[in-house]
Amino acid sequence: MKMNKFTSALVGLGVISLAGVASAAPITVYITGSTAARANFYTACTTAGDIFATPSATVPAGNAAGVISPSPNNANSANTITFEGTLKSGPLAGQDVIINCSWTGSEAGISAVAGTTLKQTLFQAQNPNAAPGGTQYSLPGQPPLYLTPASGYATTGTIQSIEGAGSQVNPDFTMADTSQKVSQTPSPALTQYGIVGIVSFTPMKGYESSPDATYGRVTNVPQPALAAALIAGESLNAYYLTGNSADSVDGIGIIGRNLGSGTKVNTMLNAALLPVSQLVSQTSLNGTYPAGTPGTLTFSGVYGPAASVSDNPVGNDGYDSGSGVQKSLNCDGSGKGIVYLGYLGISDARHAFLNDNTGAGGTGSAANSGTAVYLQFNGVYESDTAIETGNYTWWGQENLYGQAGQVAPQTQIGDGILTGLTTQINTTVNPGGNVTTTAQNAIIPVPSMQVYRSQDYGNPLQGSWPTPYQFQH
Amino acid sequence: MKTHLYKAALLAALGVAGTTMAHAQAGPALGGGVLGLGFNDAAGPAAAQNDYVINLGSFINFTTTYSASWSISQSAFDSSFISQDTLWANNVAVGVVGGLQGPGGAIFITGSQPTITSASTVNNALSALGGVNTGNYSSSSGIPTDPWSSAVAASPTAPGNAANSVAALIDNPMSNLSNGSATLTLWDASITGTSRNPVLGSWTEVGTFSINANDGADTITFRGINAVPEPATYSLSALGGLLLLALRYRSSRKVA
Repeated sequence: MKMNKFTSALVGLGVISLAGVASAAPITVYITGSTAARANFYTACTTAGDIFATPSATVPAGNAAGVISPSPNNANSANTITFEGTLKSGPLAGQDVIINCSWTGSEAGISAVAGTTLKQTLFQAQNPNAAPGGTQYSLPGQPPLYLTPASGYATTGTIQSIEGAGSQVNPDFTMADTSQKVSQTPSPALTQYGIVGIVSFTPMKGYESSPDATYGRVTNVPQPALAAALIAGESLNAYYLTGNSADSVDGIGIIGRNLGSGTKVNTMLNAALLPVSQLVSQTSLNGTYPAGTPGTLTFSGVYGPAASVSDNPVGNDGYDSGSGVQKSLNCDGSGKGIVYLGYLGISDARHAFLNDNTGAGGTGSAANSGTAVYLQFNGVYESDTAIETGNYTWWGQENLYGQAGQVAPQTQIGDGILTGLTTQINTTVNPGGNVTTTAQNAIIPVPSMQVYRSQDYGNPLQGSWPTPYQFQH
Repeated sequence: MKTHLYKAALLAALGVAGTTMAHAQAGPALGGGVLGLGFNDAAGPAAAQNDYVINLGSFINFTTTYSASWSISQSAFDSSFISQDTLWANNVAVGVVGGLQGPGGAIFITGSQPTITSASTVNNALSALGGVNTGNYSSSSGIPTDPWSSAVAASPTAPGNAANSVAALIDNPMSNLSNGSATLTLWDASITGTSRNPVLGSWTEVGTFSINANDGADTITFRGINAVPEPATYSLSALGGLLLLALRYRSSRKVA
């Protein structure tokens, strides 16, 4: 942050002009938050004319223009990635900007930018590393870790360590799938840049190499059944979802995210219609708590055969990234008497559907892994059209926030990111069909919506979205 | 907090150490694995329709040999009830419930001995409870806030509005204060089995909560049914014994 503070001070003192800033050394900003938005952010940073007028051409071999961190942190699904280019919009247009990204989840992002730390207490019943009376762990990514310039953006460290600061330095920006008002960090009030798009989610069921009849009958997730499954966990009989009284042997296991996740917040508020902080009973397939990261649910890397897959209930905990949910859903969950359901952002869901598990953003199946299956929500498959018309309601608003009381040049870069990201999202075209037939957009342009929300959550109302695209709090 | 400080000062003056006193905790939600104590006042006027919820800490602590004390925030209690309801001392209700969902967990609840035998039902109730916000707020707060009066019980005779409220699913843990005080019996049942087929154990008595919400008292104490006397009690007893011996010695010398 030294360069930011230095530059900001110079601008504030009038020592240098903004035009002078535009030709100065790169300004680095740090962004965190929503994993559901990372693919769109990637596109907005690698497409000339969106966030950057010209994404940097000086990149590692095989990278898209603008991506300066080497593989494996160079794909649109990477949780840590670094971009560079000349800013497209605003008074800093032409300025070389490095955007260092650490996608840790919406709630974790809001907390990090606000300078607080989300914590949760885990007990031995779920996490064998915990003390008998429970152990309080900081959520993964608290504080977020960023790729370091000293390592050539290959390894990570805190902003404090990168900048050589004497105390903790908070990220500049965060993307969030929900507003700060309904988050677990409602204060201090962050700088609100606005809603950049509509972020959608979908339920899926996990892979089974030897599915039973009940598995085949689970095709739809009604809202009441989703709420019941989240609350009750595996003790809920599958007939809640199938409506078939024969489905009383199999239970429903929810594989989901932790309390740092905006995907989970949207699942609670907009899909299950439950209070956001209500406890859930989730599980994982081959999810463990490694000794080195004792409070972090981590996928073991083993997808099968079924006998090698363990059902490990995690209570109110879950994965800190959609990729963990994806990998558990690509595990072979056969023979456990449970139909496993997960909830994901559209990008992660696509990877689960394609069984992409050979590496970060990989494109092939791993040994014994299999395809996860899209499910309907209230009888409707996710699609751009269904969301735009109010027919499908499992979606939220993608927000951009900055630090409380943020000033230039960060505000100017924030405006540039908002403009560029909105430009990118507004160019997306409704592909038609639904998730089962055609790849849908992870974030949908607000102007294409024919319904809107008057508050941060709940069922949408008919009509165009009021401008400006942000809720008044 | 006043009582806490007073007791600490008293113990320090007596040179007694080792007595533990837990602090009430504030936070956005109770979360899993803890016991919550909630006050509400459905019998009072509209302005008194508030909840005040205190996190009592990990359920693991609550054994038959445990004893601890907590403070009631006088300002929170006053603003929620005393300044809103002249009859607060008998209108305000209080109860304790908590635990951890799933195998390895347990349910704790005050009141008469519960009869529920379904672990799944208990899990549902604990799910709602864990989302309850701590601190003081309106009893009618809605999503995304989760009030005690909805998730636990609206009053000693009415369940919460939530379909899976503790009172609707298990039993009503609330009792009215009597002249600002209440004594509540705590029961528990462990959860074993598997996540698919959880099993609820038998209900056993754990101990007693004593609540005194009167200004100047503001304390919550818990004493397990097998709790040994606190070191302070031993010390006071010893001090009393010494005083008696001294008085007897003086008395005997006068006689002599």
